[in-house]
Amino acid sequence: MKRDLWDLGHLNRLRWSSKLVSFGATLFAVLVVVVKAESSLSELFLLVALSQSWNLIGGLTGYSSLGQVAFFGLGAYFTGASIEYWHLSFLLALLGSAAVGVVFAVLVGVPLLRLRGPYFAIATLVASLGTFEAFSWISSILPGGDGITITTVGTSQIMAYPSKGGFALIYLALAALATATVALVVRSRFGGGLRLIKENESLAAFSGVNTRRYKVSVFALSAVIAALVGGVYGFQQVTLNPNTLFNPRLSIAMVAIVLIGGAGTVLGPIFGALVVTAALELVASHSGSAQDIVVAAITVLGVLRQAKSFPPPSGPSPGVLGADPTSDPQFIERSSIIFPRLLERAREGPKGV
Amino acid sequence: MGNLLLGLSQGAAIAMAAVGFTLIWKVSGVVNLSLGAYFVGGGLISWAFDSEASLPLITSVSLAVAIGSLVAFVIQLRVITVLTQRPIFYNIVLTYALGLGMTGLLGVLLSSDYRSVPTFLSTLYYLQGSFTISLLVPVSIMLALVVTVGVILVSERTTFGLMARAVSADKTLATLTGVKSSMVVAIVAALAAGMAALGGSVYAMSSPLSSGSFQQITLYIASAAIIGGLGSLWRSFFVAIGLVALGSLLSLLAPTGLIDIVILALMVLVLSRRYDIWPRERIWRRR
Repeated sequence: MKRDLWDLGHLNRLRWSSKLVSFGATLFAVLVVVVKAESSLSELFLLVALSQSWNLIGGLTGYSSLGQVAFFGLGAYFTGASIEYWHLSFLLALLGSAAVGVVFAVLVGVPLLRLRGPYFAIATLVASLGTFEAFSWISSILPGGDGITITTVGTSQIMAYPSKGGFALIYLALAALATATVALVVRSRFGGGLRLIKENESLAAFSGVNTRRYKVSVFALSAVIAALVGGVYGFQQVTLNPNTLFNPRLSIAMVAIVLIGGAGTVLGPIFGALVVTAALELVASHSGSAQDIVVAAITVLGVLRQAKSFPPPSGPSPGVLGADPTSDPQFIERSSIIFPRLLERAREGPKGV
Repeated sequence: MGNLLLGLSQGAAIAMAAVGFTLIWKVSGVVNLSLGAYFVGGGLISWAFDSEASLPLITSVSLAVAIGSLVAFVIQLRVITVLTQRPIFYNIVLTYALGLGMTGLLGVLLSSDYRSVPTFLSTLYYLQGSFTISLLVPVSIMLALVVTVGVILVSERTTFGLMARAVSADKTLATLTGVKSSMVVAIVAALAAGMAALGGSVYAMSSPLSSGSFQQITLYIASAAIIGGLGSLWRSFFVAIGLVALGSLLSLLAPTGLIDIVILALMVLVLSRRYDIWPRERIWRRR
């Protein structure tokens, strides 16, 4: 179990030269983040928390959501509305945004998690676009027509507005919470079921894992983290703008971070977030388009690097569509530690169906 | 009526990209989410050549199509082909990121504002009372039809089409019989990107496009191809026109967010009926 916690996935399988490049990139990233500490620490912790949220559904479960930013935006709007219109405290507003995130994840997840592969990715993309358009419309009909602006000065303010350092500490707490959540999930039976779903969903169902419940639960858990981070970000931004809160760059950045660091690992996203934050800091003074290019380039490199570290299978294996789930003895032996019924079912073969 | 005609014209433009999306999927099994970027690129490059460099419209559009095709050819051959036989997840993330990066590059190099291609085709003619029509509506529908028919003819009547069908059926076997599979797939990708760029150029003649339109356009292209059955060029064509025209009509009655939700619901409904996406344990319980 301890090995799981320190497993950096594909990074452990790289050659020495690649490891040296990875180490150099990380060191450079740390230096950039430290030099520009004031502005970049908040961003670093925010990205760690968000990428851990994606890591739960994409990295551990293998369901590549491209719409995680919807929960982030939803959390921001709910927190903003709770503070501004319902005069709730920041903490209560945050808890409320987490609850709203769960409800939305269940509502969206129950139908969408029936889809697999590209269909799920595209459906989540559509869902996030729908949420963006809905909030753009809501913003346009609110008084003033320019969305929500949280009152942070004057007599009508609800609570003291934290300093930059204060927000960095809140993001740090969220990043720690998100990382601890992933660590707990990885070490639990629940996490074992999720990894089984990732390797072969049919086999997972075959061995008694309630795949739908597992998938919806982890989707909701990832939504809670994203909504909490969104809530804090919304409060920090003061003026809530749908274009910023539902920015597709954020969705793809979460994926890039996890791919660079190692999908399904606990500490990988922290390394990935360091690299992405440093790269974004270098172009911080440029337009959003330049930041899109940076995030896209890192994602492309991350995908190619990870794909190269896993050579294509020479024959059908459990992970490839259409493969015989009972044909890989190593996979079954590994998974049967978590799900003892698996070995028994595999021996029975199709007769048990 | 004006909205319906505008929707038909825009739908025809998106139909060209949706047919390209389906074509790549059929031949290589790649879900190319970067086609939205070629679409946006087509519009912006046409605008740049037409309005900034003062080139004739036909030349501007041709250059946009050529640039889109060339970029797609190189990217397919050098980048996307690396992911052959890897999980489709990498393919989706890679093409989406490529699309985001390319539209970012367009924003930096050309413009991040909304731009349209001015043309005499979009001049409005009064037919009866306040009812107006522009030449762009029939021209874009005809162009989309001609392009789709052309692609189908190429795939069914030419040697290249035969090679593409062989790669689509069994890539390994096609390679063993001497077909350069990677090259065939790259040419198909270039063809699809060219169609998307042409669609984008036509779209920009009726409505402005910006690098930020990438996501919305990708949504329409992918939805049309998926609802159309991911495999049928004609169904993708008609669904694209129908979806965009429906969206254009609905925009009079409801916010755009609701239209996206309708598209999402349609997509989930179609997929749930067409593919084996229901959890196995549920099927077993029924049995």
